[in-house]
Amino acid sequence: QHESMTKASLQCVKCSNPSTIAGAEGKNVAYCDGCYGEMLTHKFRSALGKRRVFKDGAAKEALVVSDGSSSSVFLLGQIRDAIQLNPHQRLVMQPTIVTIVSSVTEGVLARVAEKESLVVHLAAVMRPSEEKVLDKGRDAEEEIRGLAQLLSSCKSPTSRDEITRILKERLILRLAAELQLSTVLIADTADDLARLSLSALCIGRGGQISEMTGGVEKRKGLPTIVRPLKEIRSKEIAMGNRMFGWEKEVIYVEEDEMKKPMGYSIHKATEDFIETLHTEGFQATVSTVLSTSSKVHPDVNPSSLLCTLCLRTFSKDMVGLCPPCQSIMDEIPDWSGIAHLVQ
Amino acid sequence: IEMTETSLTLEFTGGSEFLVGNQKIHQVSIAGEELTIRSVLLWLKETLLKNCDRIDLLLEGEAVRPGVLVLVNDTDWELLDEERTLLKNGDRVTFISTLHGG
Repeated sequence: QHESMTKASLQCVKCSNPSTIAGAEGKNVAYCDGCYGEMLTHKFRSALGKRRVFKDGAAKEALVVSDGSSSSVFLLGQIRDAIQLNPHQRLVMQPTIVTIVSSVTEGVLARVAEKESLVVHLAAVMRPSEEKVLDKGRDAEEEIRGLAQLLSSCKSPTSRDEITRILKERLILRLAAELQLSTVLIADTADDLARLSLSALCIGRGGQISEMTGGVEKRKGLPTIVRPLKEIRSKEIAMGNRMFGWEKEVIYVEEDEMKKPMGYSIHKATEDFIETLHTEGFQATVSTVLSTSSKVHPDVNPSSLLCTLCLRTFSKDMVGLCPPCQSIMDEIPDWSGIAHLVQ
Repeated sequence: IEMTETSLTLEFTGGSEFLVGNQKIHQVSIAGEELTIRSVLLWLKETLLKNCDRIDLLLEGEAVRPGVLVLVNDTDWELLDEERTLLKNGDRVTFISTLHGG
């Protein structure tokens, strides 16, 4: 035992072993390695189970989106483990895993394609609607350059980060359509969704945050988006990956992008804001933001139209682009490359 | 005068290894009495991270950046004394960045 263990909660809350990891809410709840891993796995299984995602006759086939991040790795690892359990306990699901690469650095797409079977670059979303995003494409590097050009032409880091986020959502929907899958699992964590809530509020998407952060998001005519890691914190992801031996699966491109000045966007600012609050002792920040987000609803009715870019409702009388999407598009001088997405 | 030196294993993971030459494990020897994690951070600024242009991914001033986890001998520093945790010869300090990847 370490000499300076003077803090409370020296014992695991589940068993009598000494604790090694503090829970996400603070050191009053701490676990030993084994119980921590079990706690995380239980969180994941119950997130899917309580939302009855693959029950009640629902389709077992689902698209699982990865981007090589630690949360994606955690999601994939949990799914693989759950599918392999004994017949009574196992998760009955047939996942199709697609890895989306967003880095515009040369060679990254090729590097990832060596490791993973189904790989798509974010740039593929710019292909005409008749073309398939899962096809190899005529010239991958040229496509990526087209995306890089669009992003660098954005008038602010915020519009650049926001259009990237929207394009990724649209790509995911295109993938699900091509694969004819009506359920999509994505790796958004509690921290990601809290950040998303605040960034969305800053740019005028307040009415959309309950849908954007919901555990299960259903929209008419679109696949169901499931966020099984919604109650899992980034610390838990990092420690979980370490404990389950999944760390080596994480794909890093920061080493290349790290040197580039990214510019300070709303998205970066909310990340810093939330992280700093947690460090300063406000441990309930993420959970409070999320529970509040789930309660904020727009004034819409079942016949309200979806924005042609973000594909969510905004208000009863909105037609075409919702105001925040319009603001983003206004910051892109030449958006002909994504015009087909807003038809 | 003989200066006390403490041998430590420093582990960098979660993407933080790119700040220290892409090398996860570093065996180091740090001079000083009553070495704490804080002392290690100050030492890092002067040595391993001296010419690093993105030091902000690991450190914020003289503290660890929010979002970076720290373990001492695989125990969460939150269960110890965080920055004031005293270190002894042979201890392993692990820095896990939760900020990036993918």
